[in-house]
Amino acid sequence: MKCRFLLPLLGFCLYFSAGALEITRDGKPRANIAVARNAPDAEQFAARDLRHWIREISGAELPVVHEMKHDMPVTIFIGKKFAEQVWKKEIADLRGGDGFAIRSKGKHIYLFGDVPRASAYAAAALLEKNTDIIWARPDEKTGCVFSRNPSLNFRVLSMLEKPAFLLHGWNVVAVRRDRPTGIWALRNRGNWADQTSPVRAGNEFDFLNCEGGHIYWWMAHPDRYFKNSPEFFGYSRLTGKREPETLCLTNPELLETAVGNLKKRLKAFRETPDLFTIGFRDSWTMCQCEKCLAPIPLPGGGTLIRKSDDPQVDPLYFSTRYWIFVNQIARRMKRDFPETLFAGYGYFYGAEPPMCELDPAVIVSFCPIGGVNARYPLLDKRQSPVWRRRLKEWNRRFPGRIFLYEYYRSYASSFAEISGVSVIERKIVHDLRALKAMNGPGILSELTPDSEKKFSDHTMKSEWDANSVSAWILARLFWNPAQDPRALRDYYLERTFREAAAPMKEFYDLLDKGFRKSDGKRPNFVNTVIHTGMEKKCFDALCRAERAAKHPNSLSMIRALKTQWQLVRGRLGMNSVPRMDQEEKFTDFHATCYESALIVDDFRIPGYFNWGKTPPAPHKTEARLLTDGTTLYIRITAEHPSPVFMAESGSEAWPLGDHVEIRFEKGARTYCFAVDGNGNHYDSLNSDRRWSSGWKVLASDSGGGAWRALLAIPLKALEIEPENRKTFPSFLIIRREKYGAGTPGSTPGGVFPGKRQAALAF
Amino acid sequence: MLRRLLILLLFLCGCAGDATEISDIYGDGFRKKDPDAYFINAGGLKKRSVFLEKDTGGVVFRSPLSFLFREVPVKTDTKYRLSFSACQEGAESLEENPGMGGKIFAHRENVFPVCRLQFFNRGKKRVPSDAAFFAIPFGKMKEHVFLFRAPPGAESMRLSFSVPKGVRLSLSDVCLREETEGKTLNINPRFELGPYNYSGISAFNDKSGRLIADRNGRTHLFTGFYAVTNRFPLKSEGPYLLKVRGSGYYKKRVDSILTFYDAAWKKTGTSPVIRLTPQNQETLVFRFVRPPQAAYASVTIYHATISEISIVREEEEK
Repeated sequence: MKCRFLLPLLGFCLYFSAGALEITRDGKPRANIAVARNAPDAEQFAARDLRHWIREISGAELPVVHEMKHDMPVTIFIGKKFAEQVWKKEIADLRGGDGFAIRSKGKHIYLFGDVPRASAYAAAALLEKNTDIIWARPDEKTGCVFSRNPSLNFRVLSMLEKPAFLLHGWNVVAVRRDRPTGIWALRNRGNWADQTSPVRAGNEFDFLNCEGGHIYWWMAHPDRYFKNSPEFFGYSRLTGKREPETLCLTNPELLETAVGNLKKRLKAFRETPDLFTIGFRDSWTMCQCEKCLAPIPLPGGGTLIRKSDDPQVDPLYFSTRYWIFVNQIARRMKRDFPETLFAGYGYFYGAEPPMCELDPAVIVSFCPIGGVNARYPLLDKRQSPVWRRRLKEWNRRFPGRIFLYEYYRSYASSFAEISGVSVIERKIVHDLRALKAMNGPGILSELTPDSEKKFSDHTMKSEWDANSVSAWILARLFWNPAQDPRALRDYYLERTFREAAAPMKEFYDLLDKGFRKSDGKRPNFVNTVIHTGMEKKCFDALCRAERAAKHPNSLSMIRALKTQWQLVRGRLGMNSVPRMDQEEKFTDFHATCYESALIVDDFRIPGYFNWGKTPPAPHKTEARLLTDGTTLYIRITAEHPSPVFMAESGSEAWPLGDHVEIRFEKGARTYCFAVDGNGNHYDSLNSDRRWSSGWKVLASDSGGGAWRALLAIPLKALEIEPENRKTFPSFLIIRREKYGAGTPGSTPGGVFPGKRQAALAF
Repeated sequence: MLRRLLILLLFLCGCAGDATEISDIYGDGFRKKDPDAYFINAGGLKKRSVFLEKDTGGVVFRSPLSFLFREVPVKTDTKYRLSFSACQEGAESLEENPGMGGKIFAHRENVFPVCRLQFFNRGKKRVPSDAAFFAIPFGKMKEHVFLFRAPPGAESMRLSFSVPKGVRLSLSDVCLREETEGKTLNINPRFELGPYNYSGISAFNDKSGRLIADRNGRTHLFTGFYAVTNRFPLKSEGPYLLKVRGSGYYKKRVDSILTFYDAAWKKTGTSPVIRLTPQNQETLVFRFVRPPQAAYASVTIYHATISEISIVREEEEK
């Protein structure tokens, strides 16, 4: 009986072990990693990275050797040098690009490509295919998820992949020199991650060398030239003189000076650039001298006459002026740098396809920003007609020479919103596929690093906390846009969250549902999550994921996302007032129910006078809000060693001394309440104090360094229905200790009264 | 009828009287004590309003109804000073509730009596104006002074006082005369008219925009997202100097734009963004010339607290 099962079982084991190579056994190495002694840095890195992760997974440290040794049964060879005699066909197939191959012969594994970084792609792919590892985000401590396995066998030993594009990488902005982000980009097959390595390390990962950008000052810096050669710079009709903000693009001496300076700079780079972009500043300003505004003779006859001085009104004219300049620069530079691609900015006025031809040396960095609909693909009929027309026309006139410069992951100037992956599924993947169909050179996108450092008013890390999944999917689509973004999403969620994958999928499905429900509206958190009623369901799914997660890094990433959720919700206006049972003793200052209330604190002085700085208020204020479903209870604690109150008036009057005012706003209605520690109270609707809300000041007292008040406001008076979010108001609390010049009062976070206020939810 | 003709005759004689007032319906302290002498469609006013003698001399006009002064001639682009003493009862006053200051520049459903300016061209058609309206928030009699320019095409104007239901306005010593002081082209450049006077300001983008006082009692303009000045005429090519003093609350900068208009107030263009940063030590001076086809300009300022916006001809600064 037993024999009957043994044979199939043996067959089963043989089938699955056939071709598998033993890399480690019981935490001990069974393989060497071989990399040439003088191998390029990227291949050396591939070897070290492979060794590192095998050690992390299995506990075994594989030796790194420089040639074949026979002390281990298996050798993993890294680099083209080892592969070129054995895998000639593959080497030929990969020539000229940064595709990679994994091959095996007997007990030898080969990881290689035509360029050094391809070996690093291959090493990462080998690990990914043969373990459950994922580099979900760059953070070195918590960004990677894998299972431990002391006995590692590699079964997937044959792969050959080539990227869809020549350019597939990231301009890592805001905070430079974040090496973990560069490494993450490399492991996920990016071929550019600008300025992520330390300066001394040079181009350690063999990334493409993409230079240039906003480089007018590289051509002629005002500090050096403006005093003696002001004619190099743009003339302003408004000021009546040359100004250093821009260059005079028709000045022949400026052209020669610019070319000379650029050549010097490029020669000084450690490596000749692969791509050099000749771009202008983030500005619409152009020279308004007679020559720069003169009619432009066109190839084939005809003249382009300017319709306006303003490039925003007549981008065609100014685009043509700019691209003529780019042609001139590129033509001269190409003689010294024949291998470099020269690009111009399809950005601001340069986004309009010009009337001139482009020099054969020139490609276009097409940058659709400003007026682009974030929901729909660039060629979709629902997209802005201006941008749709531009992309079509660029491609029609200059096929194969348009690459996309995008801002898929650049929130540097505002807070990250938790948007899920719907925009990728419904827009970005289609843009990338269209780009591939156009034979465009590629895609470069901005990306902020996974860094603790702040830019603007938030850490870059918080953006990864909110949206790691989208960066990973984009990295994979940059490599091959034919892949299914939904399948990539699910792969990421399963690998990253494991036991918590199901509730995380539910979370992202709900975000997607909100995205679809809010079609036609701007795809931000308020429209897709708050107004579609997805907020509570999404948050519940996150909480379930937190309970289900077992891997510490999965749990860490879920908690980080949850923290961001709460921050975004609070910042974009979802302060939820907890609901308590009606048996609770709301009338007692010390009732425990107030421990679970919505807390509004951190009162600060609004930054009217000091460049926006919001210092803490001189004395603390705190409000705690609760509801029982029919009444809103607010407990106020206002610290002050000796508050000055208005004399008790005995009837409704605005408290002129130390007081707190609370404003609820809904459409055109402002409900105002004010109270102090001396029993003075006031309510009004749209400044009409004859209005009576039926509210009560349940208690007020002062002493011990603070005064307090307990308020009960009927929800009916505020026209709030707890089950109907359309009835929820925004609100603001202001504490004023006195009236007088320079005493604006304090508000939560120092928000300016009158600005869009936080919304309350019930 | 005869009485009305007599009054008209007196009125016409009055116009030739006081050379500093633009018309004798202003500046006479309501001494005629007759609504028909000063207002149009005065029928309802005769029943419900009253002229009262003040203890200190002079006459106060008190009304629970809105009313319109008679039209008087004005000249395009000329700067005028309107002054009167006024108070109101019925709305919660500024003395009772300083928070009511936020209602002074409120366009919608203002709770206070409001004085608006109406301008007419030669054909008696209304001409648009960007001058502020003037709210009367005080419960005690107080002098109000407002400065404005007559817009392009204006040949006459009248004052309109709207009084909300349940409120009574008291008004006296109404004077309207040409204003010759001040070398700036824009009005109220240093907000010296105080924190309740929006002369020179045309609009705010959001409700947080307002005038505020610093700890020294000096008035500043808080723009909120942005504020726009009244348009001012550019009579010559220039050059002109725009001076902006203040600080910004967003990204440590103050961005301003000059917007240019033709003689009919149609927009012709804008300047590049002019930026004030901490490095400018809170003062920026921008020199510009009048662009072709431009006859007027206004200044839009973003995210800032401003103590001065002034535009002068450069030769006047030397």
